[in-house]
Amino acid sequence: MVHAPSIYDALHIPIEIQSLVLASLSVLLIAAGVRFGLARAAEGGVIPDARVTLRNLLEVLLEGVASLARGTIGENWARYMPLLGTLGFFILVSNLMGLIPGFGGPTSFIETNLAWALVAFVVSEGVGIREVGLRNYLAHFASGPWWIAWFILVIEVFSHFVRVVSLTIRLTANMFADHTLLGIALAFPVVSWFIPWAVLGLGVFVSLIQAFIFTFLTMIYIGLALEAAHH
Amino acid sequence: MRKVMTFAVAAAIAALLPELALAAEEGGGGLGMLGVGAGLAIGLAVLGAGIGQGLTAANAVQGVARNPGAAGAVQTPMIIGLALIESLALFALVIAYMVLGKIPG
Repeated sequence: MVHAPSIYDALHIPIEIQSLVLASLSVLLIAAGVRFGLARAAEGGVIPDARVTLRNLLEVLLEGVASLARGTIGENWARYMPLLGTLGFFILVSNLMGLIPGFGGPTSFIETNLAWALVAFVVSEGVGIREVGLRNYLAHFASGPWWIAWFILVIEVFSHFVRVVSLTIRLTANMFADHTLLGIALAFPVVSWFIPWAVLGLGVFVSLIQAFIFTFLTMIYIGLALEAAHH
Repeated sequence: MRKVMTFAVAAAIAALLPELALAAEEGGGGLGMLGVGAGLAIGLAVLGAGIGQGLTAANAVQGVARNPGAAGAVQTPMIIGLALIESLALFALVIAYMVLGKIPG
């Protein structure tokens, strides 16, 4: 793995932990900024601001997430908005942080992504189990005659566990490939004046899309668990 | 018919490439095969992902061409489809990295 000099070399803490702490602090600061922007807003925050402010940007983002959640989850979509908004925004900030050459992004490392995927998995399964109980939740997988139902049950349970792996590896591999590509594009003397711009553009695009995909898939898993529970 | 022929030719080439690699690497030994394996893994995966994404984009563009007002409604599912197909190629990239990591030095 390419180890560029980074701001993390001063303290001798692993880069995975430092970048995650930095990303968490950034998200916290942005959230605080939005909160104070909301406190200062006209009419108690009902009317958007006149210019481009942090609060307006975040409201646009969250409105997009909310409309998707309303579509996939259905009635109780507002209960899952804290999780979905946090996941989406946190992953977005971490992805973009990884594109800046001196910083490392927490999403380049498999540990952070595994943690987020496990959170999404526990929430989506827990929601379904809490609605109807473990037996009924497992029973909905089994459909058809009994000799097929066992087979389908095993495959469905396995595919649910594989969701964790796929979410993790999708995010990690996308970010790792982009960072590696940026490192390679910056390594050669003459082409590094022109190519990194295109790679950086692709990197920003992929960061946005991967954050969106992670959030959207979490929404879909929650929606599937809920509708399977209600049949 | 032409699409079937194209796909058949591509599949035949993809199936014969390992034969070619085997014939060439007789004296190479285990480590050379690891390199070939990694290259083949990512190459074939990107071949499949490229075909899949091409079909997705083609159908999305065709949908927009039929109904330009639906561009917004077509765009979001297209992006989702592209990202999910991309992720399959990236799973193979992970395997390729793991195989490359086994080559000492």
